[in-house]
Amino acid sequence: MSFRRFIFKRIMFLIPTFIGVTAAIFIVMNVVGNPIAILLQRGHSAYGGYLYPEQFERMKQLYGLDKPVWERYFIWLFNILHGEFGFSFFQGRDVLGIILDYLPFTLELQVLALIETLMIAIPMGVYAALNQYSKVDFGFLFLVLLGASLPFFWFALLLLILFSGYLGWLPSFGAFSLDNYLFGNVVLDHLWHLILPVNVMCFVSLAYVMRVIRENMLEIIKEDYIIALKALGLKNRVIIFKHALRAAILPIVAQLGPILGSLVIGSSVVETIFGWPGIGFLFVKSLLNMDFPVSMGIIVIYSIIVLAGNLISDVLHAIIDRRVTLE
Amino acid sequence: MKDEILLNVVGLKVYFYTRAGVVRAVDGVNFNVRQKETLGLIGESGSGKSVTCLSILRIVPNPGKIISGKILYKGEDLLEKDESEMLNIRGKEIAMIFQDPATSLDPLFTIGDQLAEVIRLHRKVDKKEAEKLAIELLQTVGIPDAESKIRNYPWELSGGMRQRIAIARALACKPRLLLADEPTTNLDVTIQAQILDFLKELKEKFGMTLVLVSHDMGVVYEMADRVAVLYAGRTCEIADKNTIFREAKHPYTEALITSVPRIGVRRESLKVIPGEVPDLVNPPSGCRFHPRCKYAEPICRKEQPPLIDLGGGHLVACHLYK
Amino acid sequence: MRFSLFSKKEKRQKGLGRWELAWLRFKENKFALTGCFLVGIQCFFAIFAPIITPYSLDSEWYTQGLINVPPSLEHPFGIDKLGRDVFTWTIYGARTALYVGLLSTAITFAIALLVGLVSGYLGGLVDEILMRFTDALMIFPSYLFILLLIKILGELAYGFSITFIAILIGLFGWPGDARIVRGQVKMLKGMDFVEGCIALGVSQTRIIFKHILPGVIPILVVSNMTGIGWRIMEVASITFLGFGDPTICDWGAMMNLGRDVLISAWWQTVFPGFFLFLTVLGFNMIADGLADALNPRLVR
Repeated sequence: MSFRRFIFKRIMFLIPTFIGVTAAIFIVMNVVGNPIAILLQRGHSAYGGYLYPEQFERMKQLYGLDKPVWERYFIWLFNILHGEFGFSFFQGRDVLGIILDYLPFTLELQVLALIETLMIAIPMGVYAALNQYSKVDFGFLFLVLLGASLPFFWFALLLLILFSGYLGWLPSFGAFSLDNYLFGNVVLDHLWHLILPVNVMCFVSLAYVMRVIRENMLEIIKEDYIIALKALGLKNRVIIFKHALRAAILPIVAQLGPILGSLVIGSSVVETIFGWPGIGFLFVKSLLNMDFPVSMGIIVIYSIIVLAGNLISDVLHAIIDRRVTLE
Repeated sequence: MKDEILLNVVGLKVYFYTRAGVVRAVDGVNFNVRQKETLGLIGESGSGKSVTCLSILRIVPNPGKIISGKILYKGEDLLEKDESEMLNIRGKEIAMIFQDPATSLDPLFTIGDQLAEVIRLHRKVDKKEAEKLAIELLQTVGIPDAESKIRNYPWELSGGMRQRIAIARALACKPRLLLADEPTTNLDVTIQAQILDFLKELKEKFGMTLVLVSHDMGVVYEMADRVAVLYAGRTCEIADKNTIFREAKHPYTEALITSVPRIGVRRESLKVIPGEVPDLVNPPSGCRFHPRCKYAEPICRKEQPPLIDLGGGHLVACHLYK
Repeated sequence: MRFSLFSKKEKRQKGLGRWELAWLRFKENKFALTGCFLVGIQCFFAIFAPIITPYSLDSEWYTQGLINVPPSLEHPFGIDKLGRDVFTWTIYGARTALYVGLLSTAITFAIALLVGLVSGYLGGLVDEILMRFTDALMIFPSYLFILLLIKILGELAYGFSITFIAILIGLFGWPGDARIVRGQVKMLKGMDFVEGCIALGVSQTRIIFKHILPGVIPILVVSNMTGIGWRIMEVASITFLGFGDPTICDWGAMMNLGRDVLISAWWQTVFPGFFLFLTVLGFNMIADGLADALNPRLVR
């Protein structure tokens, strides 16, 4: 099968998945209790008190509350695909606009955290695998155990107590300082605020990635072709970084699932702890304020991001290892 | 000169330090290989043949360690050399091919890339030149349609072709000595014959010396000039092919030869070697073969028999011959 | 570092079966034992909480004006901002944690086993459908969805009970394990001995129960042992965000409460979190020990 057909097949799989996800959300919402109906019942609005007639009408239109369930679903889906995510009473704005304001911060956090994770996990994992049963290896495994057991939000709080509270070195809230920027410079100020959240975010999936890389490397260096390469006179460094690492990364690239999953969890909690204005923070806030249009919108956006992530990982996987296009 | 000794392994010992104990994979192996000859290395699984080859190139994997011995290549002890010197030997002077062609090539790279990689390792050529040389190399080993094949991945080709490519890769830099670790075991019989003929051709063409490891008596008979027999990490007997197959002196060799069923020869039951495969963590004392040997004497349990020259290059390690 | 391991001869001499060997290896593993110890402490706290602490969950010092008091002899973990004794609440929290862990894991275990077994053994269309569904579930943002559900159902006055949270986590947590089970089942089923059994006329049920299950269960147990710790942490993170019943004695909720006074009254967040850490650590150590005991990595 050619590369193109493989991608095509993957996309074909993801589309029904997307439909499935949105349908699931929608069905549960309506079977369990339509959040919009609840909102309308309680008459929430940004202006506190009652629902203005225009807003009520618009909501009715959007969610088609007077029509049967399946029609409602398609109306909603149709709207979503056209960028109409609804209106947030709580904030008095379009949902999509709100989400797009917060989204860059999450992306920034996640990407930086991922880079940091890889930068730490790869060298350490490789080193531990090459020196199996040494003190370094056992130290490594111990760190992995700690990383998997230490509750990340507790860790974040501890860091806050230490670095923000006692030492006062790092800020505890937000992406920017409210009044004076650090050294008068916005960019520096922002970077300063990034330090803690990024490190905590990196910590969330670090142990997993470290462990997987080490395990994979251990398997690979025993492979015949690695020994053959050594027999041919290739230098160790070349063998490791050109051949072995490529094979070791492969399962991670292919299996972005658990990593993305923990990112979703991580971003909600970590952003809330640090007041980082990303969509995780927005999600929790919207739920607590019962601003359901925003919540549902975020779930949809997250689903799209995760699906896109999966597609990217499939593509990367196929690029590295052509065998997946077989079948 | 045909009789000059190219490789001389003396008293090689390689142990593996594992959780289950110390595995004495190679516990005193001696043999030599002459220029341009084919030495067959025979033995069961666990006899130490593969580890010996890995030791020659000094690529024994952890937790294995070469404990003692000498490996003299062109007169120099390889065990005394440091890593950078060994890098010049591997692939360039001594090369190795492995048993399973399916796994001895990297599945993530095209065969063109893999060949070019080795070529550029020992020769100063650029990518384009290396690619051309790779195509030539493929043509030399008889791969049809080489220009398009270099863009193929190993898993897209058949077992026989893969093994040829693996051999081509090993020969990319024209080594003097080729170590072949069971190169045909994983192949169909017909392909086996092809590869063996192919190896013979290469020997002729390049004047290569070959160490052929196998547990298949037929393969060894066909290819080898001389044969060394290993058991439980030790050398039992070394002699030229005909002597080994007709006048084997060591009890193990004898048992090995007679246990191969032959077409046309009637027998009542399959002849087997009684007893069990030796435990390499706690090997039998004295002569390793004594628990299974029908000529065993009390001394066999106590003393390890030395390798003695019976004349004409026929060496045996057995107390029967003193 | 050398470990003791029974060589083939000894094993034969002692007539030890696979499980006894595994148990012996487990017992020798210091990490595994430490893990058991840690989990054991939590169980101990959970069961004997009323005896260990002289106070009850309802005891309040609020009325006496005592809030946010640092640790002292009478209150080893201090008093929180609602005037409650942190020590009492922390050790009672062990009950919730263990309950939640066991409940959610029981659900995950059952579903993963069932789905994996059916999918792996039957193969074909059933396998395709189940696997697609499993894949979709893995992509699905379960965590967010759970939060949404909790909020909505809470609003509809079905309650925020922690049981509900635990069940939800269990219902969404099985895809990963199901794949593992399926992989294992397929591998075992493909083995020659199963073909031999079928050829001999052994019934399918017998094959499944006697041959395939014993190969599958150990892996599932190890995976779920790690899962218990992770799920307890997940639930704690949910209550930490403020979802669920705030009156329940739960470490996550306690840590949430302490956030306002994080730096000034750190004991309210540090101690419950520490217990959470120990619990998860304990389960992970046991899981590692089990994995090693059942599949010792012999270096060749």
